[in-house]
Amino acid sequence: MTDGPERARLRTYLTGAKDEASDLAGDNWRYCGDILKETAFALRLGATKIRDGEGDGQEGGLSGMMADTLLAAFEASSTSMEDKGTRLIGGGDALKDTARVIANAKTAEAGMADLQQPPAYSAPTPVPGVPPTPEEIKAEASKRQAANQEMAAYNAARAQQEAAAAEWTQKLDAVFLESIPPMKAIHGQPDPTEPPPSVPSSPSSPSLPVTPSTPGTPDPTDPGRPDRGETGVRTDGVVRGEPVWEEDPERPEKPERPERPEKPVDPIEPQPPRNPITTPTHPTDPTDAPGPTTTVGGSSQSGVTYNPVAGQAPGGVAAGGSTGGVNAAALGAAGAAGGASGMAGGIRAGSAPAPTGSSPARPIGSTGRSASAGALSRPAGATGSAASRAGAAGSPAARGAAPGSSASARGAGSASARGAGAAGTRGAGSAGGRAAGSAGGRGAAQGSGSGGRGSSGARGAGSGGAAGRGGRKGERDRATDRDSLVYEQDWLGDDDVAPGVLD
Amino acid sequence: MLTAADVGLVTNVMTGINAPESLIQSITALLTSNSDGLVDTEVVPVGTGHFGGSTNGHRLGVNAQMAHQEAVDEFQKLADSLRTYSDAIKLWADEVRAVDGTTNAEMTMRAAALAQVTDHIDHARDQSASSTMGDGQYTEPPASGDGA
Repeated sequence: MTDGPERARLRTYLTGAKDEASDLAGDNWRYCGDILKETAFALRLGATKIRDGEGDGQEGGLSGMMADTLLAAFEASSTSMEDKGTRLIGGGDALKDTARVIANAKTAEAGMADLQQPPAYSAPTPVPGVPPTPEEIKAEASKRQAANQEMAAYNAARAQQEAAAAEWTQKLDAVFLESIPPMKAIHGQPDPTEPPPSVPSSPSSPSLPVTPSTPGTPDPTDPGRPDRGETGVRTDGVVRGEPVWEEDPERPEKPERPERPEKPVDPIEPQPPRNPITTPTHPTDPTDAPGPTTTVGGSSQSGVTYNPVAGQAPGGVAAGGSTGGVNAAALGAAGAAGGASGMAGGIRAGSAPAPTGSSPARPIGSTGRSASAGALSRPAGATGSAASRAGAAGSPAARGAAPGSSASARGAGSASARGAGAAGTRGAGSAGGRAAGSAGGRGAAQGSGSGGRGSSGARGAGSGGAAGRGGRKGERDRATDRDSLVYEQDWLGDDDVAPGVLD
Repeated sequence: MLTAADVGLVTNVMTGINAPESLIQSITALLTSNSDGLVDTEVVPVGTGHFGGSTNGHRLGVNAQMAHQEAVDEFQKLADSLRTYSDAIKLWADEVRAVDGTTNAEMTMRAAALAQVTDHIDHARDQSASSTMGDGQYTEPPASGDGA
């Protein structure tokens, strides 16, 4: 027979418990409290005699300063005795309550059946060459069913027993804890067994809600007694039958370490960088956490955070507007293809900052190369690797390299949007990446009309929405409106545009 | 040498000189009997093992044991205070008896005794009227068992 953990715990709780003695002690304490109250009453009676005398006051009582002093002292003493008598009665009640619960728990535990786990069913070993007869098969099936039913009944009974045992241990704990304050009211001292206040601890060292006793206050009646705590130590110190090692029922489980967010995985095999140039290292935000894993579909456009890699790879956003101009230079070329104003914008934007940093030079090369791919090939812009992101960022330049037709420019822009969007969602779902996507798309669309809009597209691709405001005011407002839209529109637009390109 | 004020004070304290002997005896007997009753009262001890082997049961046992000790101390303290009251009243009655309180010399002779009476009463009052039970200092009993 093996008891369940809750029943074993209940047994530990009841081991050595003296409910009858506690009940008698409770009665006695109540009686003692009554004695104190009676003494207080007697003292008041004496005060009355001092004041009024005996015999209905015919002989006269005491008076004067000494009598007043006595009367005041008697009153103070009797009041205090009454209060202490009440406390003692409260302690007696607590002892009796505790004894009652212990007795009931003992009765309940004694009434719990000793469950015997039935043996598991074992199928007979078939004799080789002799197939079992249908009767044998039927008999074995009946045996198996009976064994299963027996096991199920055992499990149910055990579960019920465990639940009952757990309920009783809870009741015991409750009455124990409720009985401590009356005792403290009597002795008037700090509870030496009070567990220290729990301090928020690290997951590796969970605090113990209940400690068996305050360190340094061993059991006065049994100094050699081992720790009685429940925290995985032996809880019964005296000889109490079989030793029971009890698990700490209140120890919180070690909190699970929060799942580390998965490293973003590119759903598409990253392509080797076409330009064997080492990727410039940008200062990364130490707090930047990997974003959610997404697919190229780019459907996750919410809850994104800024990803400096995605945002900086194309045009060095970190460098601010000046480096953003590098891409503007790239798109300036696009603008030049589209119109004179675009040429002017490109020159204006790209003239000064282009040489700065290492990243500015690369996007030009990469954009130039990925331009064709960015215009007609989505994977080039959506691969998600650093190189491909650069390519995606460079796709706006591809727009510039495109012959300026509206269709091709739109295609390039949308590809850019996809690329940047993919980079954003994949890298960190950053706002910058998102803005780059939308601005890029917008810039591409605008590039079909004028070079200036092309440059704004470049800025959009390079530095996000802020740079994307380089277009005309009306279009800027429209762009803002579009920014507020989800980016599936870009995809929808893409699908719509692609046939146009082919056309 | 007592001043006039002192003489007045002592005279005031000694008022009641005409208290009947039976009254004094009745009061002192009341106090003494109650004191004896408190001394004879036994507060049944509760040991730390009375409540089983759980942590909270042990906690309750420790606190119950402390409460028991303080209750025992308190009963002894209250009994002592009642006896002190009784002694003070006896002393007061003895000192003031047969003193008419009119001569300065007698007043001077009784002043020390009256001060002693006052001290006794104050001590008994403080002893019995303290808010804490016992002496407020728990001392662990000898390791003789659970006290059952």
